[in-house]
Formats: sequence, C-alpha cells, structure tokens
Amino acid sequence: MAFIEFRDVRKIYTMGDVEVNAVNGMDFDIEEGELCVIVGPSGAGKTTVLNMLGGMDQVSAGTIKLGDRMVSAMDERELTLYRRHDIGFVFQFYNLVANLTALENVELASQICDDPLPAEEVMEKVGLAHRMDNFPAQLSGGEQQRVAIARALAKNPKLMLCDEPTGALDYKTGKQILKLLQETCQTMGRTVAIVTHNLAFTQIADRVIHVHEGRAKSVETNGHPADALTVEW
Amino acid sequence: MAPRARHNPFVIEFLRSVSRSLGRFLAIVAIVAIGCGFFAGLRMTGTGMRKSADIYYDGTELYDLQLVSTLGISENTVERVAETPGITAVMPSRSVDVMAAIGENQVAARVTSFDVEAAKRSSSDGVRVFSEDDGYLNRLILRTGRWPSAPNECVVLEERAEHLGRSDTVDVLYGATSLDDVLDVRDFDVVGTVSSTYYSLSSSLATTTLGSGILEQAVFVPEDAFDPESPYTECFMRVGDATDEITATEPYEAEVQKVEEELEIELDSFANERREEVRAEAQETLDEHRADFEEEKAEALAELDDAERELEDGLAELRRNQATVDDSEAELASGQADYEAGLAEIASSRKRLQDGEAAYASGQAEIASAERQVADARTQLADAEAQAAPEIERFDAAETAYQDGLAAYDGAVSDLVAQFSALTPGASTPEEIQAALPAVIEQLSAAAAAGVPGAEEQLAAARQAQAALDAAIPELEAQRAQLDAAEAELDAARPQVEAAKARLAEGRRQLESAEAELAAGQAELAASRRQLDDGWAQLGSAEAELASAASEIASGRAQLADAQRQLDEGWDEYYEGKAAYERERQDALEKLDDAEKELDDAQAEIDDIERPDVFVLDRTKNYGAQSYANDSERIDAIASVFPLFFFIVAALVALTTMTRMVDDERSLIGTYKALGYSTATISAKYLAYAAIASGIGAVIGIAFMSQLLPWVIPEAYGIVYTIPHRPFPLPIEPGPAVSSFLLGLGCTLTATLVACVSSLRETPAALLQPKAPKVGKRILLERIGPLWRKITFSWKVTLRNIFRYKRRFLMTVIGIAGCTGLLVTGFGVRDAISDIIDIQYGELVGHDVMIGLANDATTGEVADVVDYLDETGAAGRCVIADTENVVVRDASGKGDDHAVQLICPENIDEFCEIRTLRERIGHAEVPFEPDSAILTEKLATMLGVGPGDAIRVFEPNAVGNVTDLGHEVTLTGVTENYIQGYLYLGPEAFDEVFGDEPSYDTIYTTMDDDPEKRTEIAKHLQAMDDVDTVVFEDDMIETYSTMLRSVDLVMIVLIVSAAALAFVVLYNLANINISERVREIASLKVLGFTRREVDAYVFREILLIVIGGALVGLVLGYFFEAYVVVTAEVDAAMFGRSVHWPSYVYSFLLTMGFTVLVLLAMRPKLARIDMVESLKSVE
Repeated sequence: MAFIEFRDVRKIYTMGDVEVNAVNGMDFDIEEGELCVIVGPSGAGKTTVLNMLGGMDQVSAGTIKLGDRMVSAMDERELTLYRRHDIGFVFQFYNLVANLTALENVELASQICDDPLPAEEVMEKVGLAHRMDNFPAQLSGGEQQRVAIARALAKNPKLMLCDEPTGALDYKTGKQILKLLQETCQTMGRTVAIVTHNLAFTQIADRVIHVHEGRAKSVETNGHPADALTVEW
Repeated sequence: MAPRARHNPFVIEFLRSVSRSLGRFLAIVAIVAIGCGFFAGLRMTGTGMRKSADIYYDGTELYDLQLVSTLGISENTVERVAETPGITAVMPSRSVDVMAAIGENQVAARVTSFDVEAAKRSSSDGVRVFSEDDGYLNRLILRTGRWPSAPNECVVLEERAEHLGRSDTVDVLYGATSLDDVLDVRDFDVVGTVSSTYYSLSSSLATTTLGSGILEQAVFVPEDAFDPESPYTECFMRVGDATDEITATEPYEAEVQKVEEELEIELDSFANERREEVRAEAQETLDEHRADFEEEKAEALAELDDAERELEDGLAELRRNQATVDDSEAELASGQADYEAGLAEIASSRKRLQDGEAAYASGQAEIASAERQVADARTQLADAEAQAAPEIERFDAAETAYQDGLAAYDGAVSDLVAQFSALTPGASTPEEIQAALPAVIEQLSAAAAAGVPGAEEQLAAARQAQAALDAAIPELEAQRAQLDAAEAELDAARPQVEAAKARLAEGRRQLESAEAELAAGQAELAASRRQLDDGWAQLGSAEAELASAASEIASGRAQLADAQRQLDEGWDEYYEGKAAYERERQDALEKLDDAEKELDDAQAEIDDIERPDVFVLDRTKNYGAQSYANDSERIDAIASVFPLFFFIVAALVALTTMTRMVDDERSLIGTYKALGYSTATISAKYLAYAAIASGIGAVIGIAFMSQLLPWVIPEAYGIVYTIPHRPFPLPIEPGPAVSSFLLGLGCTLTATLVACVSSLRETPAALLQPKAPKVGKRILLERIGPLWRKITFSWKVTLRNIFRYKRRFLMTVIGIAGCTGLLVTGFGVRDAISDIIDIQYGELVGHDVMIGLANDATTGEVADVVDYLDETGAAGRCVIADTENVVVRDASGKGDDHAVQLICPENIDEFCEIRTLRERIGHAEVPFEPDSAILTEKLATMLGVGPGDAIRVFEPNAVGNVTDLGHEVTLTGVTENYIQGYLYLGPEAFDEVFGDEPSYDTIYTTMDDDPEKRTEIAKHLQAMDDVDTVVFEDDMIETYSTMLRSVDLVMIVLIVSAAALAFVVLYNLANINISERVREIASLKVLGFTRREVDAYVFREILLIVIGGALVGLVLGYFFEAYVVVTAEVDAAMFGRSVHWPSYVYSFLLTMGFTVLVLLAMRPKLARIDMVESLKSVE
C-alpha cells in the first residue's frame, strides 16, 4: 500500500450555472520518502490536486489516503488538524508573515504542532543561521523561500507540499531551492511533492505524475534522479 | 473625459467600486452621519429650545421688561412707562409673597393679581393664548376648572398643584410684609389651574424670603382681591420690536436693551416722582390726622378744664357748707356745755338744798335736844345749888375765923420783925431772924471780942433779944401752927368748895349760854328754813329751763348730723371726682402725648422716605426663563465640544478607508495613469467617492439627529420646565445644518486628499508594480528581551501589527476612546446626579426635616416644639440653629446675587452630627469653630473664592432685593455640598458679621418615614403658633429623582451613539485588516491554524487596540464627564464630581461588548477567506 493514494478523485466546481470538472478521476500513488513532481500545463488540475492533497479543499468524489488516514473523509476540523500536523506547505510567493523575523516565521508553524523540529536547527539546515533575526522584507526571494521551507520542515510533516517553489525566483536561486528540497527528501527522508509546470523538474524526481485535463496522464518512477544543481531549464 | 457620462467607463467603474466595497462606503456614511448628526442636532437643540421658549413666550405675551420699585408703582409711573418709545404694551400688577395653607401644606406662595376679564375673553391652544386685549401680558393658560369670578376665587399653577397635592382652598396666613392695606381677601377658593409663562421652571418658581426660600406656588387672583388703594408692585412691558426675535438671542437682547436703556434714563425720575407721590400721599394723610388730633386735643383739654372748674365750684360749696356745719356744731357744743353746767348746777343746788334740808332737820333735832338739855341743866343747877349751899356757908365762916386768926398772927410776927429789924436787917420772918441772929451774935461776939466799942452792949442786947425771941417764937409758932392747921383745913376744903362754886357758876353760865345758844339756834333754824324754801323754788324753775334747753340741743344735734352726713357725702363725691379727674387728665395727656409722638414719628418717617430703588428687569431676571436660556446655552457649549470629536473620528475613518481603497486600487490607478487619465481625474474619483459617502451620511445624520436631539434633550429638561415642545417634524435649522454638512464633507475630503496624494504622485510604472511590502519593524517591547521571548508568535505579530498601521491605530484608539468616553460621560452624568441625592442625603445631611419658627420665637417656644417632637417619638435628635435666607456676592459686592441659606447653629458639635462639613476631595474634615465661616463648594467656585477670601453677605428686604452695603465675611473653609448653597457661621462669627446675636429659630431633625405619621406631625406643627415652615427634604429628593429619570433618556442617546461609533470604527478596522491580510490569513489556514486560532490571530489585534482605546476612553471620559457636568450643571445644585468605578467598569464592558459584537459579525468573513488566496500571486 502506497503512502499516498489517489483513487478516482474528482473535484467539480460550480461557477454559476457552469460545472467545471477540475479533477476528473485522478488516480496515483506516492511512496513514502519519495520526491514526487506533479507536472502539467496551466488548467490541468494540478493546483486542485495540491489543494485536495494539502487538505485545503475537499473532494467531490473518490478517496485520498495519506498513510493510514483517509483525507477525503475528513471534515473541515479534521482537515485543519491534518494540515497542521501532517502537511508542510511551501508557497510560490513564500507567504511569510511580514511582521515576524525569519526564525519567528519558522516558530510560528512549529508552535502549533505536536512534534516540531527545533527552529534554529532547521534554520541552520536551510543555511540561514545568520539571517534568523531578519524580517522577510530584509531577505532576498531565495532566502525567503528557504525560510518558507524551514517553516514547512519545522513542523516535522509527513508530507511537504510545494507549489511552484521556484516560480517567483530567478533561475539560479531556483536551482538552489530545488537542491534544498531534494536534500530534504534524501537526507531527512521526507516525502516531498512539488507541483510545477516546469518539466525540467522531472529530472530530479523519484516519481513524476503528469497531469492533464483533470487526470493523471502518466506516472513515471525515476531510479536515478539527477542532482538538482545539474538540472537546467 | 467623454461628455456622455452615462456611458463613461470611468463612471461605471466608479459606481462598481462603490457597490463592490459597500462596507467601506457605508462606514464613511455612518461615521459622517453620526458626526454631522450630533453636531447639527446639538446645535439645533439649543436654538430649538430657545425657539420653543419663544413660541411659548410670544404666544402668551410674556413680558419683555418689568419695572419694579421698592415703594410700589403709581398710575402716573405706569403712564410714563407706557409713553416710553419702543414699549407697545404695559400691564401693571400687584403681587405679594405670603405663607399660605394650601391643603395640608404650609408653603411660600406668591399672590399675583391678573385681569380676569381679559382672561375670560381669551382662548388658548395650550401653547398660545389668543386675546383681543393688547395690554394683557403674561397670559395664563387655563388647564383645569374655570376662571375666578369673585374676589375670593383664585387659580393656581397646574404643575405645582400636581406636585403639592390639589386643594380647594388657599388660605393666606401672613405675608413677607404686612398684608394690611394690601390684600383684602385672605381665604381663596381654588376654581382652576393654569400654566403661567412667567413660571416656566416648575421645580422652583422663584426665590423668596419666606419659608425655605423657594417659592412653592403661585396664586393668581382677581384685581379686586387687592386693596385698590395699594400701589402696583410691578409693571410688565412688551417691547414691540423684540417680538420678532428669538428670546435669549443676541438680536432679542439688543432690541430689549435699547428700550431698557431708554427706561433706565428715566429710572431716577421715576424714583424721585414716586418718592414725592408717596411723601405727598403720606403727608396728606398725616396732615389730616394731625388736624384731627389737634381738634381732639383742644376738645379734650376743654373738657378737662370744665371738669376742673366744676370740681372747684363743688369744693367751694362744700367748704361753705362745712363752715356752717362747723358753726352749728360749735354752737351746739356750747349749748350742750351750758346745759351740762346747768345740770351740774341744778344737781349741786339740789344737793345743797338737800344738805340744807338735812342740816335744817338736824338743826331742828339739835334745837330740840338743846331745849331738853337746857331744861335738864336748869334742873341740875338748881339741884347743885341746893346741895352746895350748907358747905359754903360753913366754909365761909371757917374762912372768916381763919382770916381773923391770921391777921392776929401777922400782927405778932410784924411786931417781932419790927423789934429785930435793927439787929437782922433784911430778915422778914422770925425764922430768918433766928437763922440770921447766930451769924450776927458771932459777928458781934467777934466784934465784942475785938473790943469794938458798943459791941458788948449790942451783944448783950442781941443775947437778951435772943433770949426774948426764943421765948416769943414758941408762942408764935403755936399760933402759926393753929393757923396753918386752919389754913390746911381751909385749903383742903377750899377746892371742894371752890369747885363746887365753880361748878355752879359754870353751870349757871353754861345754862345761860345754852339758853342763848338755843335761842340763836332757833332763830337760825327759822332763817335756814326760809332760805331752803327759796332754794327749792329756784331749783324748780332752773330745772324747767334746762329741760327745754336739752330738747333744743337734741333737735339741733339731729339737724347737725344730717348736715354733716350730707356734707360728708359731698366731700366723698368731690374727692372721687377729683381723683377721677386727675386720672383722666393724666390719661388724656399721656394719650395726647403718645398721639403727638406718633404723629411726629410718622412725620419723621415721611421725611425719611428714601428714594425707592426702581429696577428694570428683563427676562434674564426671570427664574424660569433665565434658567431655560442657561440650559439652552449649556447645550450650545456641549455642542461646541462633542461633535468636534466625532469629526476627528470621521476624518480618521475616511483617511484609513480611503488609504486602503487607494492602496487596493494601486494598479488600477497605475493603469488609469498609463492610459492617460490626469491625476485630477483619478483623484476626483476618490474625492467623489468620499463626497458622496459623506454627503449621504451628512444628510441622513442631520435629518435624523435634527429630530432626535432637539426632542430628547428638551424632553429631559422638560420635566422641570413647562415650556411646551414643538410639534414634529422639527424644523431643520439651516445654519447648523449647512455648517455641519460642510464640516463633515470637509473632513472626509481632506482625509481623502491626504490618502491619495502620495499614491498619485508615483509614476504609473511604479504603481503597476506591487507595493513593496512594509518592512517589519521591531517594536520597543522587543528590547525587553526576557519579556519578548516569553510572548508567543501570534502575539508578537499582533503587537507588531498594532504599531504598523498608525492611522488605523489612531482611528481605532480615538474612535473606541470616544465610545468609552461617551459611555463614561453618560454613566458619569447619571452618577453625578444620583450623587446629589446619595451624597447630600446619605453622607452630608443627617436630617430630613427643617422646622422654621417665627423670627421672634423665644427659646421657650422653640423648646415647646422640641418637646412636642420628643413626645411624638417619631423625631430624632433636634438641632437648633438660626437660619436666614440671605444673598451673597463677591467681595466687591457688585457681582451676581446668589441666594444662600445662612445657618448658625446653637451648638456646633450637635450640628456637626447632622451636617458633615468636609472637603470633597479626600474628605478631610472642615473645622467648624465658633468663629468659622464656611461656604459651600459650588458657591465658592461661582464666586471664585476659597478659605481666607472675603465675600459680602446681604440681608435682602421683603421682596428679595439687596438694598444695603452688606457685611463682609472672611471664609475659613469650603465644604462639600450638592443642593442649594449654604453659609455656615459660628455664633461668634455671626455676632462679628451682623453685630447681633443669632436668633435660634430653626429646628433640624429626622423623622419617621411613615408618610401618615409625617403628615400628622407636620399638621400639628403647622397648627402651632410659632411654627412658620415645615420642610421635608423629600421634596428635594423627589425633584432630583425626576431629573435622574430624565437623564436616562439622554443616557440612551449616548449609549446608542457610543455603540454606533464603536461599530463604525471597529467594522472599518476589521474590514480593512481582513481585506488587507487575506493572503496572510489564507496562509495561516494552510499552515493548519484552526478557525479559532485564525480568529484570534486577527481579532486579538483589534481587541488589544480596543482595550487600549477603551482605557484611553476611560481617561477621556473622565474629562468629558467633568466638562459636561460642569457645563450642564444647574445653578441650584452641584452635580457629583466623581464618576463611580462601576460606571468605568460598565463603560469598559459595554465597549468590549460592542467590539465582540462587531468581531462576531466579522467571523464569517474570516471563515469565508479561501485558502486558495494564499496561492495567488501578489498583486
């Protein structure tokens, strides 16, 4: 049994009179400790997948399992706790709290979960030991994203979900972030899922899920993922 | 911009931006509505109150000016007043302040005359009185019953009748001045009740010197109830030009002032004229009186003289009579003496006669016995002669014999002696010769012996002779012896014979004398017999004479007695008459003196009649009108402060809202700019937005509040005023409305300009870029490491956020502070008014009844009342003091009058047990010593004095005017007090100030709460002669309780306003905060924050600001409340100065409550934030 299972997951948005099948029978598995890249063009339904996997949205039909937990059956409250304890989220635009220092942003997340990693340690791991007391506005984009990753990591989540983590970054910094995520997966054994439209990321993934028109068009596993720093796009 | 506005996309976009951000739009509408509404409403309230008053005053023709004079006003003066330019109507009237029994109450009332006929001809709609009589001023509105139709009928004030309890009668007890020649009727029947515009303040009509110093009822009586001879006491006037102006406003006062000045020029002349009139009148009366007096005096004196003359005549006659009586009496007395002498004489004559008779009788007897004796003696003599004859014969013979013998013997002896004569010369008898012979013999012997010649012869012869002798002698001797024996015998017989012879002779002689005597005696007896017979005859005639004299005397005596009695009566009469006359004379003279003195006094009084004080009073001197005008000005004062505050909040709300809007539409602005729209056009959008929002708000606010506030506030005051409300809809005053509208608009537009100016200055390129996120800032708190480290991150965020957006922070703090401040003000004002009662009667004043006795009550009479109170068992300790109604002014003596009760306790310690004298702040005791002078706080504040400062105290005259220079008093302390004003003087201080002992004529005590008992005791007390007033403090408590209820209405307005303020500000803040942080909130949700945590994350900040704002508000409220209390305070009372802590708590909790309500309302909005927002790109 896979760590994450999507079984015939559907998501139908009603916009006025129009029903939109954003996800239309999505099936895939992700094993524990894998770095998984979910890739597809705009509108393919990958964000919806991310939302549902991250507990931000509920399925219209189908089941989502994470470990032994049935995410798709959770009510709002359970979803909140699920997000809180099981998911570490990395946003495209970092979404740091501007009024908290880097360290505090990390602690903000760690304080609400049961078994957090020490914030300073995590900050050191993401290589920001020296910027811990800076406010987000004083940090570069890459640094901010590192803080965001540290924030996600500190929660000691079962799954790290990253939404276009390099989307707002320049190429070089983006690679460094990818590297950090890869390291997180490889050295810390985290399950990491990256949602992106950038096919280049597939090289570093243990598993690649191609999403197209609301379905998992293909799921590939990669026995030898490339080092993130070598990837080019 | 294209001319076809309807299809102008810019306009369309504008309209859409309104509809899309309706909350924001409504926030501006609401806050502007509140601000403008309050401003306009409050401004209109003061004006509205004045207009209501004006409608009422004009409608009832309330006087504009009033002339009063201390000597009254004559018809002449009234005429002259009427001639003064600007005066269009005059109405003279008489009034007098009295104590009256109205039902069970004994109260101070003012009896005023009014034109009953005019009143009967008038009609009223409850606010106005329509009358054809132009000179009918101060028109009364009949509320119940009918107008008086007889001099002993009256109408009273409806509002006071309601308060005092209705009564069918008003019995005047006594006046402030003598009611003689003033009020002809004393007992009135109440036939109706009225409202009088003159007494528009129903809680206290006016001040008076009677009773507790507050006028309790006004009694309107027909003019006939007053003595038609008495002068008018006041003259009311209408100033025609002032009618069109609103009362108590400057134009009104200016018009009145003009005429007032005209009149004031005349005042001196009025005063002089009046003095002359009064003097002339009085002089005339006095002259009449003096003439009468002189006449009476002359008469009296003449009568007295007559009486005196009569008395003198009487006296003369009496004296004459007396002389007569005296003469008769003397005559009678001498007659009596004669008579008595006669009687004595007769008695002695009779005695003599009787003695004579007796002597005669004894003479007769003697004669008879003498005859017998003579006869006897004759017999005896004859017998004795017969017996003695023989013896005598013998004796005669013996005697002859003896004589012969003796002659023989003598011859013999003579022979012998002749023989011896030679020898013994000298010897004449034989014995002598014998005896001498021896011696001769011896001598012859011696001589013979001596040889003498012849001697021997002689011797021898001698011897022979001797021898012869010797022989002769014995013969002689024998002869002799015979003789002697015979002689002896003779001698022995002789006596017998002699005696017998003598006896016989004697007998014979005796018989002869006896016979002679007898004969004489017989003759004598016969003569005496004759004499006696004469005497008896004389006696008889004398007796007869005396008897007639006696009867004469007796009749004379009887006559005399009569005469004397008559005379005595005459004297008694005379003396009585004289005494009576003296008495009468004395009396008459005294009376005349008194009368003359009275006349002189009266003359002196007339001469002393001073120029009366004549005043022109305008409506500001009318208790009701002025306090209503003051209250309206108080509202103006509040109106000038409070709304300002709302405008600040409105400006801040507009500023934050518009700032947020501009920020939100940053890229839109950039786009417009890029498209070539001018800065002016773009900013016009925002200005228009703000203008439309605030315009709508202003209109709504003004429209609503212009009805609400001018209704609610007078309603709150209305309980004490009789001034009727204006009907809805109330007119919207253009002045306040426009100024308020412009102010509201100006505030928001300025704020909008400030908000968009910085953004509009940026280049389109910069605008199209997302605004650089605000750099996080460390706040001061972080410098305190240990503390900061203990704070959780959400709190850290909260704290940092609070200080991040200064405008919002300021807006919220000020807004919420305002909300709390308003609540504190509301509750505080309530506290302030409830404190009046609670502190005044709970802490300061320990008595609930004041019993005033007549000024001249003695200590005994005071003690009687105290005894009675003790007897009832319902009264507590009685404290006695001197209580006077006085007027105080500042030390210069020229400032405003303040009516004050002066209290000088008899025993300070006892007094301090029922009155607490303390400082309001800190409650330190204010020492009350015999020389202390302590003023109550409000007065001290109004006069601007404190301990050590001086004030002037005046004793007002009967009509309450100050007419002297007063007395200076230096205060030793200022004491907390809320109702009325008091000046507490120690007895020494009293003496020092007035130079007089206080008269302890007032009793303060507590009384059983049972109203029946109270009524009964009050009734009994009022029936006591010396009790003037019985005042229960309940009345006062009730007045302020009513006030408290009226304040509740204002409270509601304040709470609603506060809530509205809080809602608008908080809604705006929450709205902005949430919309600004949608992304952050979404992120947190993604991070797994629970709903509660998200709420807390957002609301904690708001709550913190609210708490801060509320705390500021508590402080602000403290000052607001102080301002409102001091501003809105009525003169008669000091409101409590402290806000009670529960009020702070309530205000705080209510603010929190409003906040929680707003936040609860905002929760769904937070919940609605989609986590997907977090995934979106930054704008």
